Amino acid sequence: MYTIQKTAKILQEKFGKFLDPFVIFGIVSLFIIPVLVVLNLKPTYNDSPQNNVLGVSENTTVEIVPNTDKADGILIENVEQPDEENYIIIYDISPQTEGTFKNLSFTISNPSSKEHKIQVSPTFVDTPESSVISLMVDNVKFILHDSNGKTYPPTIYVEPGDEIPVYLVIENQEKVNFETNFSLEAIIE
Amino acid sequence: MSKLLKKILSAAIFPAALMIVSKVLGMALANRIFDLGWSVQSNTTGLFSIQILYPDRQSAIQCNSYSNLFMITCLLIGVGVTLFQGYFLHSSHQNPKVLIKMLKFDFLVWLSDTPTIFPNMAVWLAFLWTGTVICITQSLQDFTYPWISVFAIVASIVVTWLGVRDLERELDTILPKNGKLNI
Repeated sequence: MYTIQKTAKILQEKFGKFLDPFVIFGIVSLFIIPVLVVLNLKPTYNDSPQNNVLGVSENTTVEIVPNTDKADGILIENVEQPDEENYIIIYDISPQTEGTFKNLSFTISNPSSKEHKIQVSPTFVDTPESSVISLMVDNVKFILHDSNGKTYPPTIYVEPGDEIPVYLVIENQEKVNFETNFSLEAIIE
Repeated sequence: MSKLLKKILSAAIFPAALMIVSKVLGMALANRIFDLGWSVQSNTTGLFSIQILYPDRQSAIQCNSYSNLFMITCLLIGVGVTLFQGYFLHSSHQNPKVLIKMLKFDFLVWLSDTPTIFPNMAVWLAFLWTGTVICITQSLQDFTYPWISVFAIVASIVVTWLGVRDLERELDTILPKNGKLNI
């Protein structure tokens, strides 16, 4: 027992100085470890909690909801949607007297966070040349077909969060005795 | 093996542990007192894999600030105890009046039996200044209230000044003055 203790003491005296770098390393570690832990304990926060919910994604495009109820002889006969941003609305107009006829055509809603524009392209086949056909958006009239038979492709701008009802207005200069059809292509940009 | 290094190593273990524990405890207390919502998230990009997540920036700053304040206060208490030992309780400063007062208040347990407490005090001050630097850095990053950094700086300066005064007093008692030893 005595020999072991004596040998340990001799070894410590001879080689103890070589342990000093390890002790210095231990001291440095004792300073570095708490600093790293404290820095790592710096809390973080959620920048945009609404966007991080699993299974919920933001709507990025405009929705067009057609009104299929017939009023004033104006009826949406069919709606085709070749892709998410393209609608083709086909109207069926019953024989009408002269005068103005109006029906809610569709509702545009923009749930996204940016402004969108909708490019409307009308196609008239058998519409009387003298009839004025227009879209009424927020009391603003966008003429699609004027009294000279000329057609116009209007652009509707939709702000984020907007929900806009769009009316189709037909102004007949004279009585129309036959059923007519036309189509609108709405492209969302 | 160097005795001084051994002394510093053994003196650094407790403040290092206290720094970590007080930060964690401070966060837990801040969450409890201010009723903050929090969760744990794993992060694969950083050095450590776990982070404490708060729902908004304000809550994160509040928790970080008050946990830093708690950590600095705990380190200040540690330095304070060392200073107390240095000023009143160290065997080299003992005099009958102090001894009687210590007996009266049952403070004999605080007596330091080591020949010097300065390695201990230096280690505590080093940890206190490390905590202060962390507070200043996080204040500059706008992640700790500036008044906490100001408090940490002022407190660190004051206790360092008190420590230096104690060291000077100790040196005056043992080192030669006007060519004569004072012991």
